Amino acid sequence: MKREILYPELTTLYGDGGNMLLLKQCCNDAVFRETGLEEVPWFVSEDVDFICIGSMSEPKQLLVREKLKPYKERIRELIEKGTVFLVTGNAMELFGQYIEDRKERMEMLGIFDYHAQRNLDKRLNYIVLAQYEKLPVVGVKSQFSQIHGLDNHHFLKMVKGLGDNEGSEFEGIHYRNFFGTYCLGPLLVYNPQFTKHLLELCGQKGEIVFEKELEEAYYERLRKYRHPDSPVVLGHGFI
Amino acid sequence: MKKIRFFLSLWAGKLVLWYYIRKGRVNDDRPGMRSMRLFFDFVRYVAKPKIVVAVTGTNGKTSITKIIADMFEAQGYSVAYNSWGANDNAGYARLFLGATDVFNRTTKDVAVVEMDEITIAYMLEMVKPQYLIINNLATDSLHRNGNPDYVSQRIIEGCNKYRDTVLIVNGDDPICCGIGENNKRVFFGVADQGRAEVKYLTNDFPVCPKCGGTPVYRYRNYRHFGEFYCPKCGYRSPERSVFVEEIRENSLVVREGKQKNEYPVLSNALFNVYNETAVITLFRQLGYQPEQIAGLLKQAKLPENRDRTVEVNGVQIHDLCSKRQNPTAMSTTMEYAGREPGNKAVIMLYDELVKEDYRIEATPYLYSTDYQFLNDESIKHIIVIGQRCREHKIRLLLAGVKPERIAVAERIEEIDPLISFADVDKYIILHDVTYSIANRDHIIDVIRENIAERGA
Repeated sequence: MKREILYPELTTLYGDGGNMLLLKQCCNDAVFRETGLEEVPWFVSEDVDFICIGSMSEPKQLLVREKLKPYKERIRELIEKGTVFLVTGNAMELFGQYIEDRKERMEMLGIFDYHAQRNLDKRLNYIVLAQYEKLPVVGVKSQFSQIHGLDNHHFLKMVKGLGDNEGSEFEGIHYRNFFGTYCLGPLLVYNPQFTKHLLELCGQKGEIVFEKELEEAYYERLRKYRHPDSPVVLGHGFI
Repeated sequence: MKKIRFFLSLWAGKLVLWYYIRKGRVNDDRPGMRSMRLFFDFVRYVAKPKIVVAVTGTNGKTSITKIIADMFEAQGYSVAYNSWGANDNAGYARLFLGATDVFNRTTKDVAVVEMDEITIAYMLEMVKPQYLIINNLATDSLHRNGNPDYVSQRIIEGCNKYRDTVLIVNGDDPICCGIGENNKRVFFGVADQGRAEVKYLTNDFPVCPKCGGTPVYRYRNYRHFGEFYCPKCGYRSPERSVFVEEIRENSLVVREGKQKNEYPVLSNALFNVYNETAVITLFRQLGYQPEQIAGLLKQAKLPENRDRTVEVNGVQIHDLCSKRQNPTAMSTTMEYAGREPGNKAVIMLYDELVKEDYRIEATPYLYSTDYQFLNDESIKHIIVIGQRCREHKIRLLLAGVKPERIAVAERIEEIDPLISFADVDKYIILHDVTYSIANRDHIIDVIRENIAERGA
């Protein structure tokens, strides 16, 4: 089993490294490779079964885009083959058509049809309480962008919090085994059942490490999020 | 019309300030809020003292502003400063309300302003400091400050709008070095401390901002601070005009050009040495001689509640505070806890202990914080207290800490039986800078009682 983490020196900005940390400890039989910015990704020449990329600063998005551009057909091929992709935070924007802010429009990899509208003067900080199929999912979001044009292949159905954009009842993209979401937490640490599902897609079944502790924290968080008085908007980190 | 609005906002703010002071609420921003609501540009038009110094950056602002204020006060100057750390727009307004009379004439000699790194983009030109210290930039709380790339852009915006301010910049911080290319800048730094390379989870300077190449360090003092260069494009550390060559037990040896001067050291902790060097640089820019600065430093103190040690029957209780949700600050204290000699029990008190059942916090910061430093054989016990104790426990487990070393308590009442160990030489309490002070004191009392009962 081959698992790749793309550009971790840049793409673990908002705790996304926690997803990778948990995965490594759950996957004793897998080989992990962390691909640096100056290296050719492993997936270019190997059939990697799990690829992970997380949040990065806005200037770094353009660097990463340039690094991935030569391989966008290979990325498309892997997605169609069913390779599991976990793309969190603003890494999701890379796989859309473009990012637009007040100053300019920046073309992205163009793999999916959505685009991002960005406003660096307004940071959106929200909880996420949603459903992935029948599974409740919890998380947090902190982003400058909103996604538009994502009309199908939704990942989450929102119960509370911010979806793709203000007013959207869905969040993120789920196409074949590609999961793209702004949901942070980290997502996998917050949602152990979803983590198990993701690993099952890679052919790994069974209990995950620290499952009991992860479940306890998950149910406590779920209880708080479901409380009628729980806030939806996060101020300076919490309310 | 603006003049009328300004004076209305000034008088309204002064009235509210008078009322709040009478009620004993001196450090409250609401008078400033009142003025700002009536007139958003209040700070632009309010009279300023002759000397205005601003300080910004991720860590160290409160320490630096306190040292500066102490040094001016020691000379008999009247100083206005937002000592309670209110570095938002209302906080600035409140500060200047207390430094002017009803005719908008300044009543203070100096203002020392701790400035928020985000709002500085539009507030710098209103505050109009002669000097702005930019101490360091690092990953901070997710929801406010995003990341250092974003924050540095905001400070650059502020400096581009107000080019008269002289920047005093940490020349060992490559992110700060790119700020204010159109301002006069003076850089300070610290010589190689000979520290072994440490791998941190968060690298705030992974690539060269000019060309995307991988930077190289001739030496690294901590995190991303040190002497750097990019082999691809040549971007490198600037010339540091004020440079700490040596950190001695009681003094700093500082080189300026060909001259070397010695100054008393306020704290040997490296991050505090950087704070102090920033202040020395400022006072040299103001025209003070080294001997004068040395004398004034002897009368300055770091803020309380930042770093204390008490001893009970030979057992040390050391408390270290840091801004919660700030991975850099928390990591620094965890690294310290791990490195401290002797066997230790670490008590983590980052979360406020509140009765509401539904408070929610975003905890991605846990995974940018270096919990691996707490996975040390010398740390025999870790007790996590607070609402999010489960999340901290998971983080500790993922950092490799053995489960049997971790205990959790959601409420302060549960801690008594947890804090009594015969196999430790010291207790280290890691806590938030604001919310958990009272609870920290309670924990210290519990530890004292337990040690006394054991007769250790």
